Amino acid sequence: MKVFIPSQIANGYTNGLHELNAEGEKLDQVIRSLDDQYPGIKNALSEGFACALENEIIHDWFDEDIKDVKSVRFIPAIEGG
Amino acid sequence: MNKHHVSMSVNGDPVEILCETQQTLLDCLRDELYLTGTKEGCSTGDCGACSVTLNGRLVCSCLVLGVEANGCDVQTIEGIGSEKTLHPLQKTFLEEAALQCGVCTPGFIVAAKSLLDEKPNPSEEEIRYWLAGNLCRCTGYDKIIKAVIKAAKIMREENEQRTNRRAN
Amino acid sequence: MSSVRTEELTRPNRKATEEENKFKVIGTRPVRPDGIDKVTGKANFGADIVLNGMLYGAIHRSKHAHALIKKVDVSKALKLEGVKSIITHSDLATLKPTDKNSNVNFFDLARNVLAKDKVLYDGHAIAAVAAISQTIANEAARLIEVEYKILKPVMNIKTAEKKNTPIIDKNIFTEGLKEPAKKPSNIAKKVEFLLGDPDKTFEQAEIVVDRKYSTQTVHQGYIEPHACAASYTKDNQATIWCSSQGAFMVRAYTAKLCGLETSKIKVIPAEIGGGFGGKTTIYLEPLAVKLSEKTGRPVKIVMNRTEVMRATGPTSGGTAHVKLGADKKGNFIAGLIELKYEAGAFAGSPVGLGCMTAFAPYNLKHVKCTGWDVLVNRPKAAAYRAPGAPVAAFAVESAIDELASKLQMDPIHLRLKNCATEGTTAPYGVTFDKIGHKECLEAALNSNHYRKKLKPYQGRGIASGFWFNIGGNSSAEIMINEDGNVTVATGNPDIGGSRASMAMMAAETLGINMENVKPIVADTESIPYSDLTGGSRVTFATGKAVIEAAEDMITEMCKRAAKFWKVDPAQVEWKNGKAICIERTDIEPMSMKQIAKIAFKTGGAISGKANINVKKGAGPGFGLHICDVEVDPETGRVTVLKYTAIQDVGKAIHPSYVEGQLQGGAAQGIGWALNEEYVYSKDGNLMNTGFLDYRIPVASDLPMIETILVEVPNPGHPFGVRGVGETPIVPPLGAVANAVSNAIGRRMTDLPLNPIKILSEIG
Repeated sequence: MKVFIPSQIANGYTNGLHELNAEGEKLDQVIRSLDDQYPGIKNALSEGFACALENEIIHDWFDEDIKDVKSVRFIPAIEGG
Repeated sequence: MNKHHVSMSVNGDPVEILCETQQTLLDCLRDELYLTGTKEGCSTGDCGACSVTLNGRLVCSCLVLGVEANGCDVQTIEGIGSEKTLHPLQKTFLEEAALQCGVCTPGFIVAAKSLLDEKPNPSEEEIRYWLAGNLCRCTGYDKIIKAVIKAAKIMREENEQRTNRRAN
Repeated sequence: MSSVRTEELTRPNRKATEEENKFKVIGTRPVRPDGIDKVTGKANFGADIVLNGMLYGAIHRSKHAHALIKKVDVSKALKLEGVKSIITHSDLATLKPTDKNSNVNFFDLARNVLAKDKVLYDGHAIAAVAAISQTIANEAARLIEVEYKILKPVMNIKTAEKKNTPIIDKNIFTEGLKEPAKKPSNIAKKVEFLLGDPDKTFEQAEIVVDRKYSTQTVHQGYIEPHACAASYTKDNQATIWCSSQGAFMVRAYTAKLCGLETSKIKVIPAEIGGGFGGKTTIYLEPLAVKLSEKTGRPVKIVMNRTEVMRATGPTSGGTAHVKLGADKKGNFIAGLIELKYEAGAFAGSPVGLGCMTAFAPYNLKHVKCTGWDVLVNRPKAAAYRAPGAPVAAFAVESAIDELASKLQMDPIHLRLKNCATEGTTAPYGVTFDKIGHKECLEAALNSNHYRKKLKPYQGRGIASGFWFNIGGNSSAEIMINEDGNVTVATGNPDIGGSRASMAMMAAETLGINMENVKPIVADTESIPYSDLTGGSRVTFATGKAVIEAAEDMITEMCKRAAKFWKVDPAQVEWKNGKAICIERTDIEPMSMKQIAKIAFKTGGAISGKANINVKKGAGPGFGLHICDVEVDPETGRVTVLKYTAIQDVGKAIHPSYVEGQLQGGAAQGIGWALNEEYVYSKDGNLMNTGFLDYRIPVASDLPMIETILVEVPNPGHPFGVRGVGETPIVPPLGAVANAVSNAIGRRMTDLPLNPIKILSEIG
């Protein structure tokens, strides 16, 4: 499973790496696995980032089912006017 | 601070209030008489949300001092339409969805009524220029103009019927 | 995903037939339920609240754009007879820079509502007064004396970026850089979105357009100034009456700034006189609460227009550098955009959203979008309708127009060739479901407007626009009254007719007439939490909650009918507003009126509810605008001759109010393109603080705004709804600029296109 993260997180936690690998059928498994590799990244992503799963942008993401998803992409949360 | 005694007629009712020298007619209507249908959008006469008529003339009530209204006849949104029925403008604003947030609506209805009382069959351009002193940020004016055109037609028809009845 | 939600919504013992799929209420144009109050002046907006024993508030504001506060002397003001209390920043809760959540930085918010140590823009609030009359409060505010150490203001992006320029906030270190920033900066953040390999792919482009664009700070321009009243009681609870885009937002933010538990505050929403994003934050509420706490009396504070302009809103001015490459046939190959947005005096411009939306209407495999969030000594940027998108779209749509003329191609055909469709991956990484951009372009080609001939000094411009649309938390409760009529409550302020759409969706679901449904906007203690009214989410997400609540109540009504008929609940179905006992012709169907009558006998009052977080299914919105202008070569004045707004609206619940959204968004965008801008003096004082010189479009500035509603149903909503409110402000900047550019034969890149700029081009 490929996980894409925004540059500000990449520069803070992954030494600039945008494209990460993690395994899991649920989003929270993937996040935990990332946090093991890059400590602190879970909290960083929890603040102000939505999660794009193919055709949906999920705010308040948690344990979304991602069995059939090819990639997970974290993007800035979308605010409206 | 000395207050001034002001007597006026508001929507046909005799009222007396005490107002401060610098208080506008808008403040008097809203704060002293609790007629809050007249809105403040700018307090500089640019937005028309506070439109009322003063002795039949359309004014921004934020540009009139309370003391200037002494002895005058003031008509506000609260005096438009009868107790039981809506004025044709009020009806067409609703039918045409000519309001979104609705804060500018009282001013538009007062201003449009003042136009139609004077000019029963205005062109679209005349309506647009007459209402150029009333700001609306929600609608793009399209439906407001349509509502005024429609109300004008209804009012003309009502007038005709009235005239015919009298003639008969 | 989306289909799962739809399934969940279908009541288990209800079989949808084709006949049922035909809407009875949805798509009609009834009079809005709150209409009468709004045309008769009875509706209560923020400033209309009057409380017994109420005091009046006023605010002392900075006359400098950038200065240290050395001393605030309130002694003269306090001596004025009738002054009850004065507060400054130190009266608010003590917050730290880390006090933030994903939506808001409370440390910044507190420093925005009352300056701490330093004023950061002209009009920045410093102290608030409560007095027995407005006149006395105003006079007291004037008597407050502030001693400043004046600093050099940083008024634009160019100055902010310079080396050795004054630093607005010493705690800001640029985020998002490869190497962590070592020194404080006025650049708060860099964001970047990358798809494919644009740098390399550009080498294959046969035609490249490369240009810079700029726009100015503009205000949302809602007609109703911010207003609120608050009453603090001795048991340390507070009630707030105010107009806002979200009562729960006001409650949470005010609680944090006042150091209260959220539940100790009750917010009663007033009617809201326009917001457009500008009322998604707070300015006055914590001040009113604290003044009420100090005085023991209710306090009302109402801003005037000057305060609104100087200290609320606005949205970011910005610059954009676009590079777009295509082959000779007009296929887009790669796109680059670099955006720099003014954040105002606190970090947080919508530049990220600008990056994400910039190329979203197009199928581009290689894109790089870079954004910079830049602090300047202007008011803290607030959301404004499709935050961040219009400026980016202006630049990209101008570039496409330029490309079309280089290729000698029709600009709609060029867009059709490249438009995003189902399956296209947007630059921000999401693959689109069913969307309607192509349908909008086709509708434009087929419109009478597009075929109309133009005369000299006239020009036509077209531009597309995109907005994500969002879901989020929404609550709805629906109940059947003793007479069989229905009340439906939601937690979302009605900013432009949502009561009508909520009532219509409830009526449609229940199979009854809209007249039998009364929609209300509940206060924070009468309905569970709801996200604010914004992001084009209410008709979609709160509508979904209303539908689910109605379905919930249908289940209960069927159970009650079964109980009354002494049959198995599985034998009862809901059809056309009635409970029906299937396979039993001897049992007469029961209407809601009759069910209301048996409610008490069968178990008590009947209601339904839904408290949901709509995480999925907010179908993106696409629009296309066509604008015809005429330029007066002598005065430089631009007249909009004809305007058409086309948009994929999914399914229009109340078409009149959907059209109204398109027309209103277009008008705001036209103002942004032609007239509106914040004008500052050299010292950083705002020069145009009223509607006379901050000129929003008036009725005589505009033609009728035609609308074409394209309906590509959103698969993520049971009725096919897409959000519609924000998309329509995205295309106008590009459409107007392209029209003017085509009219005068010069590419216009710097908004607003006022007569001075036009004349200097055609001179």
